Amino acid sequence: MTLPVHPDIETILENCVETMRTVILPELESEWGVFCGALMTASLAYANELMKNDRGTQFSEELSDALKSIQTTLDDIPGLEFSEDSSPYETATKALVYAQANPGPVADEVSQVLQPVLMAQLEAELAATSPFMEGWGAARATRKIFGSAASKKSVTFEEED
Amino acid sequence: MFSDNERQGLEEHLSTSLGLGPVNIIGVDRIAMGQSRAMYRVDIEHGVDGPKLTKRVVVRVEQWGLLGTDSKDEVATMRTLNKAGFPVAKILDYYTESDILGQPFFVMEYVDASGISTPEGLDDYVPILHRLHQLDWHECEMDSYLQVPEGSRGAALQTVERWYQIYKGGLVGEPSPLLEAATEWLRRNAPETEKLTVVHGDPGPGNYMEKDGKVAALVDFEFTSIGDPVDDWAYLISMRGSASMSEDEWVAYIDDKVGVKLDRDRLNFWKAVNFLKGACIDQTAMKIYMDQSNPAPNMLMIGTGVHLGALKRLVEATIAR
Repeated sequence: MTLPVHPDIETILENCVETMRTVILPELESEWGVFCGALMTASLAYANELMKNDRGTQFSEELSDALKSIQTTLDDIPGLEFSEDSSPYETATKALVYAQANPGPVADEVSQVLQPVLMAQLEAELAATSPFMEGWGAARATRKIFGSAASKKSVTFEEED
Repeated sequence: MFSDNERQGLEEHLSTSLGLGPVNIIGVDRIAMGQSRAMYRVDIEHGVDGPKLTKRVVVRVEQWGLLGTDSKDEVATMRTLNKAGFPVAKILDYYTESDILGQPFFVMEYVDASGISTPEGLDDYVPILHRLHQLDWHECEMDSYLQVPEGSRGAALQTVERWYQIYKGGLVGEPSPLLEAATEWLRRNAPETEKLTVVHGDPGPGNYMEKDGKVAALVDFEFTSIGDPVDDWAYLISMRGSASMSEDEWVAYIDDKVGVKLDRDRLNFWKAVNFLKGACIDQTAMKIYMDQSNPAPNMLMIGTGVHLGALKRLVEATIAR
């Protein structure tokens, strides 16, 4: 490889992740340093996957298609205007909130069409955040955090707040 | 950990605010747990004449509105509960300006105890939480700084609105259709509250310190409110305590320990409110990360994975039931 061919960005990031995981993280000693080191490794892995796959555009198109499929039903919802230019997330929000407030056939169709699309996107996005869970596990595995009595906390990932 | 300027500013501040004379910071260690605030164990050396004395304190620093809270009500609540005899660390100082550490902070006594929950500690903790629910908040003047819900469904509606407004304030980019629809579901299914009590807001294992099987300190009061005590039981059962026991076991345990018989419909509603809370407050981390107020990677973790996990549970507990 020689210029002007650049090194592959994904490879650079993957190598950073590997170096963080195998070299830098084991060298860290402070509780906060280990915690941040593990989650920085996770952030790099998460960002690299985002670069490979533009889920934002894909999700937006999926939702737009779902909205178009119930366009005539949406026309029955007061104040709701859906067009190519409008945000599908704004429109879906208004439609689903209307559905909660106005039970009936319109609400049923809106919920039955939009909710599965949004739930599938939620599941996909949640799965994409798995590097953070792994990073959290890696931090704990070092046994360098929670070392002092005051900081010992037996919490799960969801209890981080 | 602290820059030279921050360290010097903190030393000068503590010298006067703690009334200990000249103070030197001889050790600082950031605690990794507890994401709403940056927490530091700070060892100080003080004394004018003779041998120097040492003291360990905890400095709890705000994080640009992370999780939608500030220290004002938290400090007031801790002072009230400490005075009322609850095991709560004594507040030594509250500094509302940002010129020393970049954000407001408060200083509290260090409690030499463990955050690891044991069965004995839990046996001690649950009655204390119940006792918190019996506290006369009006007599303690907690209604001078905490909002009192109005109307029979006021506690539920006020709580839902509190979290929803934090979501609105922390929104980055597109709205979340699922979160908004679930919020509407909660508004329409809000139950009545039998009795308004102090609500800790984040109770359970990990948020109390133990020593020798007894609770040494309750911690994390940034979400404390006046509301429905089922809010706390739901959080304990579905969030912090979910790894300890099943829901059925928790319901029986709470009845056995403190005689509280939990109605399952109300419990389910308040569980859903707590999932809303998680989804809303966690989203503030994404805002802080994206505007680069705080570049730490835990902000990205909370704003993505933790937020989405709570959102999924919220949807499953409301509109997808």
